[in-house]
Amino acid sequence: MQSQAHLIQTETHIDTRMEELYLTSFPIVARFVSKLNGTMEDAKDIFQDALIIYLERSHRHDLLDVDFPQKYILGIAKHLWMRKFKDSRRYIRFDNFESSLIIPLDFYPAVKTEKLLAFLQTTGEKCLDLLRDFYYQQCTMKQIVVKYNYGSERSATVQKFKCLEKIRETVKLKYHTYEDFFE
Amino acid sequence: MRTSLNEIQLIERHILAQVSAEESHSFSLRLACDKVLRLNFIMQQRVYLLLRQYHRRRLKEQAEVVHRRLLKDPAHQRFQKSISNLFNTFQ
Repeated sequence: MQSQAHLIQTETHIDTRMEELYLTSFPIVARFVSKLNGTMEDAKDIFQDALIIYLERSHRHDLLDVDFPQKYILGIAKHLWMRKFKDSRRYIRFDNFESSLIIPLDFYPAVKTEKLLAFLQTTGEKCLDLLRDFYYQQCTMKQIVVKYNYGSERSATVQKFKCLEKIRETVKLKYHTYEDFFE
Repeated sequence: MRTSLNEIQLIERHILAQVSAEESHSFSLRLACDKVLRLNFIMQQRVYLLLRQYHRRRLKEQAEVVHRRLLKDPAHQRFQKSISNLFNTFQ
């Protein structure tokens, strides 16, 4: 029961954290986008991607040099805007901190990778969810036992590796269909 | 665990850098001369990449829910006004 409660707490925590960041940082990014004649949809898209990059980095605890999330999110949003509208370089000013930021190399995957992921979602969503909980939501095996109704931590661990195997085999099978993914 | 799952676990420890330098060196030698292991290793690296993308996609869905909520919830009228002033409308 304690693990279940903790799991719910973890999921609620992400929602609360997102809401806080939305309230404090979205208006800043939206102002930046509107000054460049962007639309509300542009602002939302860029902000959400910057938010995800921020959450990933803060999750890894490697944001020690950032005083405020707003500063990091706006900096990343500027890079994302430049990526989206390549001819706008001259209109955007970067300070030293913002210049030092980078978008993760794998953040925008190749189209064919997207297709493979879409295929995986239809065939193995439960496995994807379990692995996501373990690797990215930092759930413990105890929490996974409760959430997915496994008999023990040992069987949850075995299931985790079975899921990796299942997805790996699917990836292998799709080798030729999505060859670009393997370049 | 069966052999194939043990191999997956072993590959994972190497991909996630959870091994000593000595283990890493001997594993590299195995990779160099075992074609099947090498293919499995490469495929497993792609699996973690896909999982990262899946995680990001789910986060984006969560962000979208928060977005819609904040733009509708009467408790956040100030926030809504600050955004609508910038774009003149909620598109």
